[in-house]
Amino acid sequence: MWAITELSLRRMREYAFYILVVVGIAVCVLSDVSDPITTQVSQGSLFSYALSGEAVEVPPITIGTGVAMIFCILISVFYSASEIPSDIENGLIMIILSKPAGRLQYLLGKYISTILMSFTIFILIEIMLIIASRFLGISSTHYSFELVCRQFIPALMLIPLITMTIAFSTIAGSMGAMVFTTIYSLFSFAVGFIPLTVALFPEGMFPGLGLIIGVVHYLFPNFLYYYQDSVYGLLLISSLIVYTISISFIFMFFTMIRLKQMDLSVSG
Amino acid sequence: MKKQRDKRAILFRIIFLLAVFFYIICDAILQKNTLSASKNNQQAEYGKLVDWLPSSAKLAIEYRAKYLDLQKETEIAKETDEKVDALFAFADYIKVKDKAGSDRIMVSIAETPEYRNSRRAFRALSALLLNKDTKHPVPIKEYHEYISRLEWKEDQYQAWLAGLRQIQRLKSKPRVYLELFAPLLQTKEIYRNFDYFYSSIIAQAQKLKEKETVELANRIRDEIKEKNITISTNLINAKPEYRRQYSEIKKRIQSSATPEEKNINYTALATHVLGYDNAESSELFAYLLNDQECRSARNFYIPLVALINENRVKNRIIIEQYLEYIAGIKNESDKLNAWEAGLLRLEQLKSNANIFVQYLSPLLNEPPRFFDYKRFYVILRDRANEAKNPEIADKASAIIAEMDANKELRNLKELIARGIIQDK
Repeated sequence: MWAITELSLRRMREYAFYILVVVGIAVCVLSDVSDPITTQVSQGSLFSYALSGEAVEVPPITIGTGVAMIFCILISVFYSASEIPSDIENGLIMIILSKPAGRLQYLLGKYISTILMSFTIFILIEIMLIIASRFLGISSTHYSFELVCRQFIPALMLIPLITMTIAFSTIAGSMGAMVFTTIYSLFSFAVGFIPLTVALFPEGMFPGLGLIIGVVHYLFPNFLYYYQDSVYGLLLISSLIVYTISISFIFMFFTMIRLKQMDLSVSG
Repeated sequence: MKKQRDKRAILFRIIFLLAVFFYIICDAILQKNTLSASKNNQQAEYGKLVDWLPSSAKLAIEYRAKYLDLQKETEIAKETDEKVDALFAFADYIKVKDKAGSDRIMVSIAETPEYRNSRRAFRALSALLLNKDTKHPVPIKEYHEYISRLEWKEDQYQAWLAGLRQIQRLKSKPRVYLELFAPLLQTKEIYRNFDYFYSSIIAQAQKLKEKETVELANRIRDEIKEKNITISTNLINAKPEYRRQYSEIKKRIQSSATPEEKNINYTALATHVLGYDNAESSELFAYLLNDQECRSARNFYIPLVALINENRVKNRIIIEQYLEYIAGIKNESDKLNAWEAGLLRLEQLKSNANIFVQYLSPLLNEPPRFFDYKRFYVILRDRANEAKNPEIADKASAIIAEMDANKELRNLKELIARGIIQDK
């Protein structure tokens, strides 16, 4: 499993990859002079309700982190979408599976490598944000220890996103996975707003919708949780971590079933 | 080999089921947290929530949401006045999209005796006044009867104003104006708010060349100017419960048997009307201040405290006056209560540190006899520090240290309970 992880990580030595990371850091540092992400949305909008949750005083998610997340999401989706299809295409998967390594180990290796890579980029950006704030005086945000820890909550979202993309890549190939992930994420994002919308409007406003949404919303992970100010404190953070792991397991389960059904010897 | 594979498959399924279970549980916890935002903000602006939708969809959603809100208010209103208010608000809101439905509700207010007698029915009745499009047009005479039954001046004023707006909307003839306002020429309302109605009478009477009416209205207007009394906007816009509470306190005043009860109830009413009718508040306080029995009652500090730095009444007192009163109190329990009440008042007024120091400083000149006073010295020390008055802060600190060291110092209540001090 670790050998597969190492192998995958080695394949990331591409110039484009490093350029993307450097550009990402520069944009995040420059954008961090703006207000925190939650003050970017006006009071009273649905977005502000969705991001606030219960009124609690917590360190905000900085705009630098917000932009960093965009980069990390893009990178993780690109990599997780192409990993398995390219292994199938060039026959590497057959070589790996012919060694004493099962499909589960292979899959776990893929997950770990992509998650490690995404988090490394995220941490790198965060370090640069702190340096820019503390030593270069570019950012208006003062990164206290608590604030730095807070920035890692949105990054948890990368884990289900990666497992989801890998699952789609086993169904629709590399490009299809990117498209599916984008559409599915957008749906998830939209569905995440619906229970709150129903709750904010008077009773009877959307007859029957409450029940439908109650069932349907389980089909889409709610990415809003990762950006809510109020997801702070032991119960909520641990719930979010368990939530993240659960989603990842569910997608992993489907990926495993799919891998078992697939004819891995067929290239293209 | 097969057994091992089966075991792994079962394990994998168990993990999957556990993942689904935890997914649902955690989602419920996180969703509850998200939805708490909606509970904290019951008055969400629906338009803002759906700002991102096309304007036609936004308007439709906004209308439906407001419709449901107003409909719910009509269902939950318990008191008649609130019910009538809610019914009118609902009928008024739907009048463009559902004219017949709106009229049905308006008529129900006019035809249900309970609603019709409400002091808040004037809005529905004025909407039906001389209205040809309704099933129950209200003639001017019927409207006059309704106004004559209204107990409060602010309600009468609102009813006249609503009536005027209705005949203006109907573009009525000058004669109709004079007919509507005819009772005002007899009752002579001397509040400045009514001046507008008399000027309207003059304007319409001049059109009809009714000199006598013009002269009479002019005389009333002169009287209004001379007396210069206004019904405050706060009183006009006060919620129905304001007058309900007013009546309740009035009843308590009537049943007050002792001067102590009078001090409590008169002060309650005087503070209740503050900001709504300051003249009435001043009168109520004046009654207590001039009544010898009330003055000598043990709880006379109650009205006095309410008058400390109260600029809205004529009988305002300053801290020195209140301190003078405290100095004259003989009963230890009353004295402690008076100090407490004064302190509470300053806290309510959000007074600055210097005012607190001014109020509590006299305590430095007398040795504390009861442990209850420690609280005052602590506040004095803190406020003196805040006001950058180290001399007083040091003195207060010294007394606090002295009180802590004195093991014989007791709370007043304890001494009263043990019968060492008589609370008479």
